[in-house]
Amino acid sequence: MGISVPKMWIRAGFFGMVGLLVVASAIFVLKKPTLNIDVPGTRCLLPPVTIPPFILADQRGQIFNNDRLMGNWTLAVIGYTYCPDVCPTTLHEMSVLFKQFDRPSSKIKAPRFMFLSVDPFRDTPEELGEYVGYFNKDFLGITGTPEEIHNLVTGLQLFYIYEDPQGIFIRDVLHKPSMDNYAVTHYSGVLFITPRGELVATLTPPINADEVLKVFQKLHAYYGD
Amino acid sequence: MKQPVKILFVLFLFLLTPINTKASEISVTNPWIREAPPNTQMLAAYMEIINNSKHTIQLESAASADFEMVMIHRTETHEGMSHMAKQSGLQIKSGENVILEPGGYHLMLMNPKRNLQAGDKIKLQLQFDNREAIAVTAVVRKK
Repeated sequence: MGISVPKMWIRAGFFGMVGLLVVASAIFVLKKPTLNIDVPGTRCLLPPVTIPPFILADQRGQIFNNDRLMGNWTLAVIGYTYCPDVCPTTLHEMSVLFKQFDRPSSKIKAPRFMFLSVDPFRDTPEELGEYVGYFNKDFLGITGTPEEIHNLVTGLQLFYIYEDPQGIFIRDVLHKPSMDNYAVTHYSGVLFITPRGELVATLTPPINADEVLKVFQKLHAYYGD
Repeated sequence: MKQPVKILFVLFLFLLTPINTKASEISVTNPWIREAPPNTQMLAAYMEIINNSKHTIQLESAASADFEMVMIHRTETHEGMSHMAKQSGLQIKSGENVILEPGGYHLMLMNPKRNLQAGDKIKLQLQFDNREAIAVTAVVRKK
């Protein structure tokens, strides 16, 4: 017959375990800081968006893929170097922000910054390097094949489209538009990517260095390094 | 001041007034161009244009000897998507002003004929309807 344990004990043990679990999870939930970012234009992605597999290259011609997003926070902006207003305005603010990270007094490890060109037909790696390097020597200028760029941007649930000088949209972003001086209508927010390579938040323009810092600090406190 | 002198002085002021009014019907303040990375093909000029005249005016076009082409543009951002909308003109009502600033209205400066650096001064001609062009000097700066 084996050892008989009184039913009451089994029941007490079961409820005891359940009780412990409830208390433990309550402590866990209460201790985890809540994600509450009061900067206008911020969108927290819960659950985070997993970044699809991609293979692109930085301005030095080195492969830039999912692995290169690991281990460090990444702030990213999508744009093109022929962009007269939005991109230089945002990149200027990012250069102001990264001066703060570069100070010895900065408590947070500096994230990396990448500018992803959605105009591979005009932005060569060299030009892209010169462009981003003007704002900060450590900024990455990322480009690649039209297909890889398109897959990554749409995989992030974001969007870009070309436009001719008359304002007519050109839906085909996989081939070079036939005219000169086409413009790119593009998502222009800042993307926040964790050291595990997940997109967790976006911030839409107008972009301001102090606000980006505020959002980043809150995300960093919540998701950690 | 003696009475006749006073009258003469007031008359003299009246004589000056029309000249002044004509000169200040449209005024442009703080014209500037954002310094861009070397070899950038697209830049933007910003300023405030004030219409002191009694009627609505329209900025019809702009030009500069330092750029191949200048266009009036407005950046429009909806839900994070930024789009450049070409403007056929920029209307300013009597007594009102319009601000050209980053993220909004701007003069898109295409294909610079030389590299511009902070501190450079660039001449721009603003063509208004029924008026001669107004010349402004924009300063290149980082912000």
